[in-house]
Amino acid sequence: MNYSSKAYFEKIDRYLNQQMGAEELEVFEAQLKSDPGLQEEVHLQQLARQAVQLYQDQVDLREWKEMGKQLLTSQPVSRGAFGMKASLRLVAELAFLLILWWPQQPQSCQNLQLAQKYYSGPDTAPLKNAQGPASPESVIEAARKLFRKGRYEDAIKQLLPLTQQQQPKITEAKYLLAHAYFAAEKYGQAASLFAQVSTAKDLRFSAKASNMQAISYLAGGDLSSLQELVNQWLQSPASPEYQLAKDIEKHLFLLCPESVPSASAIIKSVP
Amino acid sequence: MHCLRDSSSYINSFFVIIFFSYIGPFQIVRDSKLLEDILSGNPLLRRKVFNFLYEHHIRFVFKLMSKYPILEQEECLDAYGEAILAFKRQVLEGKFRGKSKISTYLFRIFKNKCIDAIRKKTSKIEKEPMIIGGEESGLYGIADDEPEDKLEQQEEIEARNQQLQQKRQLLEQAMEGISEKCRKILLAKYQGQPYVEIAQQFQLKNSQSVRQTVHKCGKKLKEIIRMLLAEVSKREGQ
Repeated sequence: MNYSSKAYFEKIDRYLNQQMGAEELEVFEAQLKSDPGLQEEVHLQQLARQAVQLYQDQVDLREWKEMGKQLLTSQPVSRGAFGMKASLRLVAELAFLLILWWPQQPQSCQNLQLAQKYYSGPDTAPLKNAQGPASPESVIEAARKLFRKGRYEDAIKQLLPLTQQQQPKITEAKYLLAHAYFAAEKYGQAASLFAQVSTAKDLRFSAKASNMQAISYLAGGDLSSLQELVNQWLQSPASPEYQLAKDIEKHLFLLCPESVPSASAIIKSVP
Repeated sequence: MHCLRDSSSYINSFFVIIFFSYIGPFQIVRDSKLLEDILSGNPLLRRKVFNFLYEHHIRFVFKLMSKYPILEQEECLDAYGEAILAFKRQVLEGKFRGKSKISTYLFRIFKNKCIDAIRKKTSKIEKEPMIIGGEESGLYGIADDEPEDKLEQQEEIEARNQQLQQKRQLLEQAMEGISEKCRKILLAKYQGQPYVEIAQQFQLKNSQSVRQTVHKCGKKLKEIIRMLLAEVSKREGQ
């Protein structure tokens, strides 16, 4: 058998490269087992491949050495990607991450602080001129007493009928009712009533009601309505709410929708 | 609306970034990709990977050159090249599976190669234990009081190394016996270059001519090896 033929050379090459199919491999291995001539040829071809591999290694070593010399001369003080020792690099990475992180890091949610700052409670001092048991003045007086005692739900019950009928004290009643809703943590209703009062002609209540509308949105976590209101105020720099709007806008990124301060926490802040 | 995330989520993401930057996920991903490329069976790709590894970790040479001032730059570069080669063999033989970082593993091999180089160098100069960094170390010199079994072990290793050395010399000699063109063609084939490219590079007619030349050169190389082996066995017989 002529094992030095091209066909055998390529066959042995396929065998050594593990590129034979199962059937061909079986036949070849059977032949290899029984034929010392083929065994020698396979051994020689294996050695020839090792010789080429060795030559390849030498070529690689030569090329690498050249590359290494160039690298050593071109980067005499190179110590990695950032020209630093690993430990220094770690410190630099940490500092870099800290710089990236710091401006984005919100301070604690300031909903409560802002609400406390702008909360102004209703005037609950006893009235001197309450007229008769069924007069609006006497109902408001009774509601004020209940408010002072912290019985907000009862105050709401007292005031609700009064706000549904046209009478001279309706703005005051609505204002007090809105406060009662706020204190009872019914912020949605409070905000809507404060909004009504804020458009009333009675300036004693309307100015304060605007602020309280904003505080109600804030306390209720309704930051989108708050933003809408602030944007509205910011459009008219002459309005009394402009300063408050600026202040809220400044703090807006410190407010969190999920951080809802309790009404009692806000109210307690009022001396 | 700007806010509006809880600060804890920022803190968490910050620590996640720190953690990953510390353990180097990108390094791990890259290592696995490099290993995949080495084991892909594509010799060209493999070669590129090892060139990349050589260049990427050249800082090790600076490190060990300053640690072992006894080594010249040339010797250090030789040791580094050998370390890359040793790493290549270990990956191809399946001894390195990527459980540790390539850089760590490579550095360890390189350090051992440097120690070997120092041992070779110092054993030529003096036969006494070397003193490095003020501490006496038997590692770099030949100690007279080594236990007997250790010496036997050492002899065995040396005998094996000598055999391998002889084999290497024989194969190098065989490669020198074939023409430069044959060496380059066989190398190109071994590197996995397509026949069409080899034909263009060596100005051969077509792929068929490349196959013919590869066979011719391979046959010549085998004949030389056969001849050299016969000479060795003849010498050993005498």
